[in-house]
Amino acid sequence: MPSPYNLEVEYNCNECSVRAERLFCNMGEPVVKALDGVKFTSLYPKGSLLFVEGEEPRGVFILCSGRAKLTTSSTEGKTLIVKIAEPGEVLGASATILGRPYEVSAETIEPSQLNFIKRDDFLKFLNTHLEACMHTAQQLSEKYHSAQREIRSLGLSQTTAEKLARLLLDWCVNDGEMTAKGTRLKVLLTHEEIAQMIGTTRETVTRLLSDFKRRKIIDVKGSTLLVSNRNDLEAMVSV
Amino acid sequence: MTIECEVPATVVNESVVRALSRMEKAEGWPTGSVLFREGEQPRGVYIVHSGEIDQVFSARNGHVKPLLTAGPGQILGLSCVVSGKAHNCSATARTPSVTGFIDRDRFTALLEEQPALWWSILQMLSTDINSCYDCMRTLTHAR
Repeated sequence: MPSPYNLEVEYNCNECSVRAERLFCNMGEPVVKALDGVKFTSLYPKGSLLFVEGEEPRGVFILCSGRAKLTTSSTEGKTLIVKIAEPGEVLGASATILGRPYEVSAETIEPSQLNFIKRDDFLKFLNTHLEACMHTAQQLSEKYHSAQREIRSLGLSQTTAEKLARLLLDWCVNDGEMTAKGTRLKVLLTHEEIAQMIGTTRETVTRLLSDFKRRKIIDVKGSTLLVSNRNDLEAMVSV
Repeated sequence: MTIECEVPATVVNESVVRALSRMEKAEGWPTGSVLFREGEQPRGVYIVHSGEIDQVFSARNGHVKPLLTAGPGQILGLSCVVSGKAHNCSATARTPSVTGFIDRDRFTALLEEQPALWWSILQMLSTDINSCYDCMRTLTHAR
């Protein structure tokens, strides 16, 4: 039977073929069995809101497949995407651990499988399994480092063009497919969302991408972006 | 140089302070002295007892900026010790400061002796992350 959204769904964590590659999930079998006992597997279409900034923490979401954007808003209502969460990440952990409202909102940007664990169950799970505590600590450390990288980019970049170049280079390293013509990227974000990642306006992103295109640094066809001249992008970046 | 935003680094809770104080080595830092540098492997954690420590980020062109500041009751280097990753920034005394230092091996041994401390570690790392989000909001707002 075809699964919703054409996702390959894994309901049993112990049988998950990619568990060993995931920072949080790569725990011993007894711990994973306990995790299986408290999680609820759900599939979400693109654009599903998992939790909202300021909401009391209901629990954590383990992102099994798909991706989600984590956003926060300034007092002026300006939205900033603080991170694009990748498979294997635990979402909402810091709020759930501290018992304080979620600091960010989480929304899927592609069809996703998520395992939800209710707050009480997650806290009991951590309390019972030291290994889970250690893996959660590693996951939180990773998130902290990622946030520090964002702070560096926001605080040290001199121009918006530099921030956009930095973002494209990061995508090349993390998700790029090398081809004879350059590095090919599948961009699922809108110009508005790209703007929210680098703290600027949609108009500026559109103008800068056109400028990069005119200078033959990139080429755009639909949702495919080809970085044909990485050296020029590198030259723009000081951070 | 101006501080763009001041947010707390890890805030130590009392049970952790008691456990850590038994094995820390007190160190004094005059203004401008460097506790650790960006890119270095973590040697241990620093508990700030007095003064202020800037977390300084540097660009490839040599431009540096203190973007976060830690004060008394906060720990520096915790996430690096937990993850084994190099420091993302340098730590420099903004004012004369006193820290308690615990090297990585001793800290790890303490966690093995007292596994209950892991819960405090999770709370401290969570607070650190939230502080970073506050800083990001401030930096976005400033633009």
